[in-house]
Amino acid sequence: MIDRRTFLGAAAASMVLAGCGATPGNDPNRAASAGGTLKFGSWQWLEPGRGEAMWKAIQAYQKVNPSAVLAQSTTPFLSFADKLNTELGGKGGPDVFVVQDVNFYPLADAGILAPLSSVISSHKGTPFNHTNKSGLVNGVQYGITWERLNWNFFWNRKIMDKAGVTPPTNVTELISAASQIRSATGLDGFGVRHQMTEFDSWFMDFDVWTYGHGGSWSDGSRPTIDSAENIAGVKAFGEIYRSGAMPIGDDASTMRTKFREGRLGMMIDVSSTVAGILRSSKALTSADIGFAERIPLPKPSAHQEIVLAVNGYGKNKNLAVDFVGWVGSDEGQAALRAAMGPSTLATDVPLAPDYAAANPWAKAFIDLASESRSPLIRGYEAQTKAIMREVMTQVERYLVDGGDAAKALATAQTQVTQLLG
Amino acid sequence: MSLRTSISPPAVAQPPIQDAPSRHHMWQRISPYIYIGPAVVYLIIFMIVPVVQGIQLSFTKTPLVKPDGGTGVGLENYSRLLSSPQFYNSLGATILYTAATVIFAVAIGAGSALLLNQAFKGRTIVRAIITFPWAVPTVATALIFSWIFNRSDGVLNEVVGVLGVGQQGWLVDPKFGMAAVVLTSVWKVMPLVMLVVLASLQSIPSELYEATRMDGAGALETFKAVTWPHIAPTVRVVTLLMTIWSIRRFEIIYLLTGGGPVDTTNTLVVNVYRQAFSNQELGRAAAIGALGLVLSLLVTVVYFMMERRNAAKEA
Repeated sequence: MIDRRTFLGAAAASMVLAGCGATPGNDPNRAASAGGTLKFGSWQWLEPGRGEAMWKAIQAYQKVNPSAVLAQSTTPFLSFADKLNTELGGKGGPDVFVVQDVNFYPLADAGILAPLSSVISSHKGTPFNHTNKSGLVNGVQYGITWERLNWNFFWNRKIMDKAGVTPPTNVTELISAASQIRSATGLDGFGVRHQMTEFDSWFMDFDVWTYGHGGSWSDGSRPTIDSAENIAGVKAFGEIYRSGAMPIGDDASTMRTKFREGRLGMMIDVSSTVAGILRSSKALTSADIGFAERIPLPKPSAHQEIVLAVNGYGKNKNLAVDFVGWVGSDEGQAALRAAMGPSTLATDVPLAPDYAAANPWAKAFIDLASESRSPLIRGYEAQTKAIMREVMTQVERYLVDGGDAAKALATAQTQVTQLLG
Repeated sequence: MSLRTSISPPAVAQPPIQDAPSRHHMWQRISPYIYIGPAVVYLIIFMIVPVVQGIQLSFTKTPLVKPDGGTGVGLENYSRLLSSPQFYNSLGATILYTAATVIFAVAIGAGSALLLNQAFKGRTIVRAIITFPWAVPTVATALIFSWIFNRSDGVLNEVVGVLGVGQQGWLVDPKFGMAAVVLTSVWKVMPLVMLVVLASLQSIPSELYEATRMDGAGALETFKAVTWPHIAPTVRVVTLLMTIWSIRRFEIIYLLTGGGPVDTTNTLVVNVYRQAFSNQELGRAAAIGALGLVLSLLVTVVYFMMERRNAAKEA
């Protein structure tokens, strides 16, 4: 006869074993056609207007796979990467997510993303463009381009006209134009990120200046922080910073608000910023936005790439991979194009003719993707943020304390060399 | 048959069955453990285990995205830290921030408590207003002060502008960064000091004040003879707490300056965050955390040594 203790022990063991068993509903490798819920992690769902449009666009996947349900996993941008890294480190997190390439690379390098080789091999229709190389890590495709946001130079035509300045074509003219706007209108002339409280974005922004002078942070085998080109870029930024025409202390959000309200003359920012400003501005229309074909610097500029990836610990990996494949398809790209506006996507899907006609600046931003450069540091991709922390600290020191840009970058070079061991 | 043999004593007497008293005795023995059990379990799970794991982590090279994939590196994290100027800068910033915040918060808080312990019209309203900053969420506090300190549109620059001082970069100039962060922190934490000291002041028996008044003591003598001896233990405890909390404070500093300008407010805790999340080096972050823990322990040890000395004096 079974006594009570044996009975309870057996019952508990059965329950544990039942819990460990791979029931069809919990099998992470079940077929995509089995459907299920996909948690899609992004900060972009919170972007007014744009987030809703993107979310609506990807619902079209459910027509292809009616048994799939998409669910939002939303975290504000400032804490998105930290939360995602922590969740993935704990073998959790959303099934599929978008992430900036500087944060994507360490995840892929650590082998905790699901390979997307099948997405590439089974892809039909418009081929994936060169931007998808950002998803290739150690020879394996771990992500595809969600969007590439290129930095460009744009201005408020009304303010420029009022101040009587013509669009600048180099740094000297930029400083002169910004100062002229300040003196003629009392408004801020030129705005761009410039402080360490925004480090996570500023270090990418700042590449505009060093890349624009032909600089690189490494040659692939050693850091080249103190190269002549980088020094030139830092000096150029220092000149505009000290010109008195920049709203020093304003964060990007404040500067964008000022531009939207017609209180800031010129900016260097990414394409989605212009789209966001126009969506919410009462003072500006698309016709008021002046834009350059490229940033007024000698060499091509930088971009910020947002990569779509699949969680290797996800509960429904095949479905997630299938979804990514759909995003890359002509149907998915067409759906996203309308929502994304002036971004470069995974394939060269053109802007809708009416959108392009209404927003002539959009194509200029998209075209910059052909020669723009990633903030990832070649040969040290996974350490990009750690390296840039040292660099930007010295840049900040140079900006606020004055002194010698070459000396500041020499210090950064020493510190980065120590950091990398 | 003698009486002795006829009445045999119970040789091996079985103890009488005393069920209830025995259970009571057992309950008395185990009940303290039952009462403190949950607290001990809590401390072990949420304090001791994380501290031990953190220290263990500090001897490894562990990436954030693979916390179970660390490799042992011995004392390398510590040796690199101790040979790095940034670490000493960080330590200096922590000590400066802590000292300034604690001194100002305790001095202003205790001073306010003494003032608000006096009877005057509208005292309750003034107490409520002064307590208000403590109730404001820390993130909101940081955002409000970041607007106040904003160089181009901030209220503070408007005020100093009236005084003829030009625009100052309160959060971007290394000369002012620490002062701005300390000012914000003091505004936020001072009301707690005030409330605690005020509670202590209100527990002083009024007879003592009457006695000193009858003895003809002045305000200063009364403070030295009655008030201070009563509130001193409270002030010491609140100073200890403020010190430890200041060493550990993160949100205000990070949201206002991110550790800048030029690392002037890069305290140990901000540095831990940078190493763990920006540089994704959990091992190095844990090593900084362990050294921060040593700093907190030092403060606590000093406090208890002072308490012991005071107790000996009083004895």
